[in-house]
Amino acid sequence: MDRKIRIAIEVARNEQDLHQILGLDNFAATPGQDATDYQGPFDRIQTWDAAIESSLANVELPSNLQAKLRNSLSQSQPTLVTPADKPKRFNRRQLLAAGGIAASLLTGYSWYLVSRRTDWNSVTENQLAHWGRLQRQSVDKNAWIPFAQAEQDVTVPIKRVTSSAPQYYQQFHAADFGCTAHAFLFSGNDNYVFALEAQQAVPKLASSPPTQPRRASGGSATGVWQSQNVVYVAVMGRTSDYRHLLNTTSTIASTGYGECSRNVS
Amino acid sequence: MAFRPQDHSAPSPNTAFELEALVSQYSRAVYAYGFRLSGNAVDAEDLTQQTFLLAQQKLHQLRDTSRARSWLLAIVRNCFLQELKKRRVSLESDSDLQMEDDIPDPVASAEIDQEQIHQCIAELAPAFRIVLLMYYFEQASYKEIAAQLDLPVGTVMSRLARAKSQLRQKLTAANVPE
Repeated sequence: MDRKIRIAIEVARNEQDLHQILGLDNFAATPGQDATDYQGPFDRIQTWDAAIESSLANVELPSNLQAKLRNSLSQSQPTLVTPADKPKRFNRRQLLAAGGIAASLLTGYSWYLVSRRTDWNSVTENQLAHWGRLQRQSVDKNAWIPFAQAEQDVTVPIKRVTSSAPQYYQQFHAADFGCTAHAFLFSGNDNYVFALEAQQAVPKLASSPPTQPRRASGGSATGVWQSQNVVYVAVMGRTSDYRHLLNTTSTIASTGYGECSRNVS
Repeated sequence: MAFRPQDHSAPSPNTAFELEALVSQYSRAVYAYGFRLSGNAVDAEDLTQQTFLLAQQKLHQLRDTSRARSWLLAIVRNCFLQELKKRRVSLESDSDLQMEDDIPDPVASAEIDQEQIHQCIAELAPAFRIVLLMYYFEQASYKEIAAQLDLPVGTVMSRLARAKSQLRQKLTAANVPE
């Protein structure tokens, strides 16, 4: 048999492949050759191939191969780092700008606390709950700026703060406590209750409102406590407002995760 | 055809669950290929482990799950080729394998002695063995083999034809009753 034909019938996967390799027209033109010359050998080789392929696959597996593989894979979890996961680095200029913005915010916030003192009861429970839901959806994650000073006012360290103006309510602030909590500010003019959604209880934090408020910048009275993994920060314009809060028997705010009331458990 | 892709509705391989599915479904094929390529169980197990670790890292590259088997077998082969490279084993060949004159009558798969076929494959020079096993395991065409190994098509055709012929000769000789 011609060597070219012989190689072709060895490497062809099927008849179509074989015809393509040989270039059937050229092959048919070869004197003394026709398809029957190679069909028999081709069929025998195809049968051989099937038997060999099956035999090659027939391998005895080591014991517990799959268990070993699973164990190996579980100890080698890939760490996929996407650009979004990379920690954001700030240069000196950005830090200065952020600091300036934070200072402006603080100043404005303090001014707001001092200048607009009205009665706590001007905001209803339903309004607070409604704003809480709206505001939670309105946080622009790209608008965070560093906010280090806040930790002087409350016992939970705030890392960043953002302020936005949802169309439903102008004054809205949210604080970021790292990966464990976010705060949503319920504004009752100059009286506020922050509800902080915490993933776990904050160590050494009271489980009921302190009877004596702390004094914060701007002369506000503050109290911090926690209940059912929700940290409450009350910022009252006056000490009397704070005492009024403690004497309130009904629920004064609801976040959907917990309630803020005098009788916290 | 024991190792053809069987599950065309396999889930998208994006999770550990899907990696587990790959292990369950293809570890046998991966190990068998590694065993035939390397010629021994220890290296085959190492190749299998390397393959699935690489698969774990590159799982996102597998977009078409119906190609999972060929994707994994390509990883096995590449791991094996890298190992050859480390050991400075050349894929050049000066072997003078000849094709048999007559094609012997086929034998059934069950009649092929496992030790004999293993020995025959192991005796082939790596340059022939890799081509032969890509043909049988990966279902690769001679053109695909040439492209994957970066060899001339004619070289692959010649090596494949001679390797197959050689294998048949040895298996036939082993089956001849004394």
